[in-house]
Amino acid sequence: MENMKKILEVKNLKKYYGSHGNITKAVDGISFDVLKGEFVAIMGASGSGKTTLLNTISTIDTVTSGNIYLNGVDITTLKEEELADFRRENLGFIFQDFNLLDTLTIEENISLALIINHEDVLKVEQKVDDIAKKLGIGDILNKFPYEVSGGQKQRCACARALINEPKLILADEPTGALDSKSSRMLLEAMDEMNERLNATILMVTHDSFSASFCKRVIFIKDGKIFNEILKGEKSRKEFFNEILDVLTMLGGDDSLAC
Amino acid sequence: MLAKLGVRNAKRSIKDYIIYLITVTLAFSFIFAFNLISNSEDVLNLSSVMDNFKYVMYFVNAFIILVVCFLINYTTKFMFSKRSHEFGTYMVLGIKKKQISRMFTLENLFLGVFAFLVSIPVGYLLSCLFSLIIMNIFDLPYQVLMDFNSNALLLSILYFGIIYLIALFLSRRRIKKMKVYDLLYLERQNEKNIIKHKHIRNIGFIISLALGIYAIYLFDGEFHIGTEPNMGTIFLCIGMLAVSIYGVTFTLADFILNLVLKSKKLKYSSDNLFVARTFCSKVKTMSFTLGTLTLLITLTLVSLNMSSLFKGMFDYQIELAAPYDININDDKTKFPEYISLVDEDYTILETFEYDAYEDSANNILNLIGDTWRTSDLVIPLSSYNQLLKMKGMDPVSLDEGEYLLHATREYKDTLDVDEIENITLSNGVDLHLKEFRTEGYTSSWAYGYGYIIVVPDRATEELTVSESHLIIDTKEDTTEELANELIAFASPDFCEENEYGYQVCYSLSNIVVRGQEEANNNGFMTITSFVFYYVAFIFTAVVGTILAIQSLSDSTKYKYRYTVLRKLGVRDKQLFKTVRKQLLLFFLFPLVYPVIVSICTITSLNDLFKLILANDTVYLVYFFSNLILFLMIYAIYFMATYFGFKKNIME
Repeated sequence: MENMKKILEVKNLKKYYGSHGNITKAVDGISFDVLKGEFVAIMGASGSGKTTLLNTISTIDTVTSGNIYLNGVDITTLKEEELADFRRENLGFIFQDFNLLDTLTIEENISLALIINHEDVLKVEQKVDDIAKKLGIGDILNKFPYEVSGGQKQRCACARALINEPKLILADEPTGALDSKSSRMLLEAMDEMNERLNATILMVTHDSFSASFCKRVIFIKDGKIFNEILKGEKSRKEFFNEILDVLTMLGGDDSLAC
Repeated sequence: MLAKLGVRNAKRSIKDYIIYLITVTLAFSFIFAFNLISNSEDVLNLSSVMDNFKYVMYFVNAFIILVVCFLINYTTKFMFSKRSHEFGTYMVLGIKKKQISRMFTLENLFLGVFAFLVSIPVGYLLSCLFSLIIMNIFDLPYQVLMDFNSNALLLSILYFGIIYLIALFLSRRRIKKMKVYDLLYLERQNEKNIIKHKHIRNIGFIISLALGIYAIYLFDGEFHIGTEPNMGTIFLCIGMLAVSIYGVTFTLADFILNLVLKSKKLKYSSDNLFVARTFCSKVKTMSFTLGTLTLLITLTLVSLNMSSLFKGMFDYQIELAAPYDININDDKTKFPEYISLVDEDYTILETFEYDAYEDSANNILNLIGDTWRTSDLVIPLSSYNQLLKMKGMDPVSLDEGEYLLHATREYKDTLDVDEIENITLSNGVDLHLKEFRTEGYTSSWAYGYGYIIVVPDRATEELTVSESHLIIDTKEDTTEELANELIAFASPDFCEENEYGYQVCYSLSNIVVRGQEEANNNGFMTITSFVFYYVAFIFTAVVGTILAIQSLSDSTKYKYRYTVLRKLGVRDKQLFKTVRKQLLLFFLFPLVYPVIVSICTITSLNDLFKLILANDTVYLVYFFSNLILFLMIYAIYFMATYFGFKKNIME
């Protein structure tokens, strides 16, 4: 049962901001697991603590208390200098605003992480080509980020996140800056990453449509887990409707409220 | 890959920070040029007053290093915050902080070394230009180019090293403290708004302003003739002014915004609202920096004014001591020999000999109470008029029984005119005071007196001749060398040959040569003003650069503001006008306080200086010419910013 291996274990995680009498409990005792090969969405309204949760898992932010085990290693105990190596070897990131480096070409952006790991140059080229083709950006590799569309940029970010074959890919509102067509293309690409490459993905979103591509959705409200639903054998459409139902109970979804 | 990234980033930075790079290059060029000059044997041997020059330069350079360091540190910090998101991404990708820090350091060092390398030839050319001017003042033929002194180069490298060591150390420490989270979200942070409550801010503005006014008032009280200024009080004033400058900078923007928002007429007329809001948000987020810039401009203007006051004082001293090319006070029989000596190298336009008489009645001397002179000095009207004529002044007339007293400005306040209304000379002639004048007095008429009594020619009958003068007007400008020749002729003991084979003479009070006075005073003064202008230029450039960098980065960051205005139907011409208004406000804001402070301080100082300046109001000429000079350099930065801004928002 290789597929049932726990990749991520979050245990009673707390993240508080502020001081003295004025404390904001952004994450307030959250626990959950992510298995290898899962595609999990974390949903919640603005300010529900979902991005903070993702930031703590991605080691960008520190925790107030609790533990996060990634592949058995408690990342809350790692030191600053160890974290860089850890991130490089275990995590892939996809951000809302792409975070591509505008002085590098798409190809260089994708390969940056590998080159820093001092991988064989020929191997790097091969890997970049492979992944770019899979994501449909093989023909823009020599362009600079400002020369390509938002969707292409985000697929480039996906390629960059995938190339290291990380244990876990973390995505923060990856469709936030994209139009609906590009969003759909990206989500399908992510779905494929998950299905065909067996990548484990944890995605934060407030968009029900995006979440409906996942296998499991965790709902967060006021820093706590409110509900959790599984796709199972349901169609994407059915799952989408189910997500909407939970959101109604939760008290509104940003995207629908607008 | 990191090196590639570094080079590409540096290349991109060059485009964004071209103004900064030019300023840093110029700063290093000036540092190198002054190092060359202050280390040049040729320049140091010019005159005895140059000995201290080298040491003064060490002190001045220390100050310059501090300010250049401030600029580099500020810009590095600024560049870092602009690129924090990028660095955050590196870290997220697993690049170690050490590597990022190394890359950023290398990039900056690369820019710095580039600026430094360019500054060497530029600095060398500047030093040639400066020494040309200096040699010209000393009337020396300028044959050799400046020698490329390795000491000067080493010194410049040392300064460069110190500046970058400090700047990069601070930058590395900053990076070390940063967390990934901070880096990814740093862009959202501003300089802290120190005073949060509106009410307190307005009170703060009034208190700061009052403190400044009180400091200026107190400062003014320190400078009066006859009282010694108290250094403690002066430092207290400077301290209070500094506090006031920061205080006003912190609070003024909000104060103005309140005024604009309160008045509907102001608020809704043309683009006032947009400009006021944009300006205030800018000032609020960088009030500490703006305070420092205001302080720097104040220092610049005040030091330029001080330099002008001293220059004016020295010029006036020369005019006072040596209005004629040559003035010799000696035995009459030796005059023909003096004339033939001058005639060897110079074209003589006019010579004039006159006698001054001693009057043992001591009408004036008794009032002054001086002990080392024994009698008053009297000259006949005809000689006096000739002396005035040679000085380019109008002649005067006296009736029989009238006399005129011409004295230095110091006596204007101390001599009681009533007591000298009527005097009797030792030969029994009674005279009535027609005029007591001070304007255009020169000590060369009566060395060591400070005044002369001018009487009708006949009134000098029976008085003994006290001294005989020979005045020579030459076509060419006289030099220190001629003075030495004349002194060697008058008293050979006063001269000796120095190790370089030049004849060096002690000055002799009875031989006054204008060229020598100029060499002693003017040469020193010119170099001193060079130094003052050097400091002022660097300060101005630093202020201009920081304002330019801030504005230009805003032009890209807030481009959308202008896009919105254009979409709302604002025409390009009107848009540029708004940009001009906004930038002008931003550039003028740190200038207002310094202008007020500098005019107040120079007025106070003038109370003391006016005695040794050409007239009572010449300080205003100094003030305005310095202000114009400052504004000229400032305007270059303003124009560069404006055009860059325009280009950025139109792209």
